[in-house]
Amino acid sequence: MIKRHEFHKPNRALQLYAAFFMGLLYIPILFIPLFSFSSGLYIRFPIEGWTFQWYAQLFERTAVLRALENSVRVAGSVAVVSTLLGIFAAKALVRYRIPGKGPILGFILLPLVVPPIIFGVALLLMVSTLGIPLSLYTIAAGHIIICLPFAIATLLPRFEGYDAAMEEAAADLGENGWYVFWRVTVPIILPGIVASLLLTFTVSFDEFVMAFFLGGNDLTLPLYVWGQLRIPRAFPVVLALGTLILLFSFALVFLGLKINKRGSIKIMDRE
Amino acid sequence: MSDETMIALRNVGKRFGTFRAVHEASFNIRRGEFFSILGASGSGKTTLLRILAGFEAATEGEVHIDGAPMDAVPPHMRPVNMVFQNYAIFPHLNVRDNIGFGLRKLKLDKAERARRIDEMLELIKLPGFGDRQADQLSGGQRQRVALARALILRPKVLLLDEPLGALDKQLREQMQMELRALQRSVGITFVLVTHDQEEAMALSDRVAVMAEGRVLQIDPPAGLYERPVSRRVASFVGSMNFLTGRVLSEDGGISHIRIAEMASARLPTSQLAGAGRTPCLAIRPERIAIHAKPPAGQGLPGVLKDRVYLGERTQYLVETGAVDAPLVVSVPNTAADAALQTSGAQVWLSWDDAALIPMTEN
Repeated sequence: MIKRHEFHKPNRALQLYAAFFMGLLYIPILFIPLFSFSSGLYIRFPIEGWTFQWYAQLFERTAVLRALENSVRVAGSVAVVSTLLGIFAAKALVRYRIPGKGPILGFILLPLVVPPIIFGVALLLMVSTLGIPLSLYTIAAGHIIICLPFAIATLLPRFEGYDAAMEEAAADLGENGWYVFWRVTVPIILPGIVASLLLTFTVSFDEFVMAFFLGGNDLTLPLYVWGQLRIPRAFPVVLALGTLILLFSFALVFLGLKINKRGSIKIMDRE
Repeated sequence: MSDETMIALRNVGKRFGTFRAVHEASFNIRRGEFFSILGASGSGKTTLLRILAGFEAATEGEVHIDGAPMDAVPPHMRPVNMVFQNYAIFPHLNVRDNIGFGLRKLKLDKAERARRIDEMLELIKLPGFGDRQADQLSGGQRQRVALARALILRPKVLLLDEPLGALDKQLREQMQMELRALQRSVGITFVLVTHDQEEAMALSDRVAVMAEGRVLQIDPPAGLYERPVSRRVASFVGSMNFLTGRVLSEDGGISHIRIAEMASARLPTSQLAGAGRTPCLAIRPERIAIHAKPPAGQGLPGVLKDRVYLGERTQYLVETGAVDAPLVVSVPNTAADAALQTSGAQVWLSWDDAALIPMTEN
């Protein structure tokens, strides 16, 4: 017998390594949901009993709800603005002959690697020099800088994935620039737009450092969590809140990746 | 066919930086004509088509379509429609919506819109395919949808960019016939770009041959094949042998030409205008006769190098002293000569002087 698929044979050691790696990544995070259901006030084993009371308390606190509302408003507008800017930037980078395309892309993606604390301090300096009061607006401005690379990185492959002749065909059939955009470009890149909205929303929703520097009196959820950490009695409620944020963020990112992937497969099939 | 001009190009040129993609193109395309632009990739043929569509602006010269200057007219305002190389079928729309895409601006009511789309589906022989998605179509069907989508707007000119290039050979031949029939039935001026000389010959009323951004010759297919003006055109359309001659004397409008000291020919002097004192003479492989014994009259002696059986004909490669490259001789297989089967055999070549085509341009 000839052994088939020798090359693709699973490697036991690598499998173990992968399992260990995933464990190291996610087990610490799992302590948060675990202890959010513990009836004790302190993080320690054995767990005394199980309860939903922290979750119930969470929804009684108006400060939490207000922070949630703030976060949703910031993240929502950041998602819309950065995705819009991302669409224009990605289209320009893929479709037009621009001198210095490489460096431009590099600068756009830079916030991915520059520590947010640097950007945070820089923006804080600028904002205070200009005398602009700190508010949710300044947080949103900071978040757009952070989210733009995510939007562009999600949308670039969308534009690269279809033939520019599609847009030319629409123009040839009598449509001007805006109609070409609405009737052809947007429908084709729609999965990328949705994915970008979900991803940038999540990034902004979870972001702490920029919000910390640029926030005024209105708190976003991460800022609220930070504030509560100093109060030991509030800790289990923070855990409950953290669990919900975690679930929500995971769901959004997974959804975004899935939509984007399904869109890519569809486009590939059609070629 | 009316002689009226549909498209007029005057000294049209296109530069990309220092690169000249199109160089001083000046010609007319007639109303209702099937016109092809034939050239290798990089010859500027697609650039020229895109200038007609408005996707590229000419850097020099003028383009007129149906008498109107096109310089300031953007693609969506031009009376032309295009079939793209890969068809550019909109992936998010079904066949009906693809075909009806350009109708939005006409503000038709629903029934009229549906009627026109049905009419096009009928024309491209795909009735009942209206609800198919773009990814459920074969290559040939996509090509038809692209045609219908462009023709539904009843353009003055239909531009086709290598429309059959993506199809396999059999389908391509079938689509050639359909395209020709379609052009006759709709009566629209077609401008087709292709690198496939057989396609250009089969489809067109006239063919423009392009190389390195220049239009080398414009003629009907037969003229292009029988009377190419330059080596480049001659070698692009079919296969061709080239002989170098030397004009010995001129007498009463007939030039006496010596070919490589071994043969001679008499050609009307008028045909040699521009060919110089040492004209390059082209001859088609099928216009040369091959003999196992010295023929009556003159024969160019040579040695049979190779023999390729091609079904309906046999192709011989004959080394003569006359030119560096062996001459190609093509003989229909009804006349296959058993004596010509061994390579290395001594053979003689002969031709009718009228088969020699002097190359009058570079």
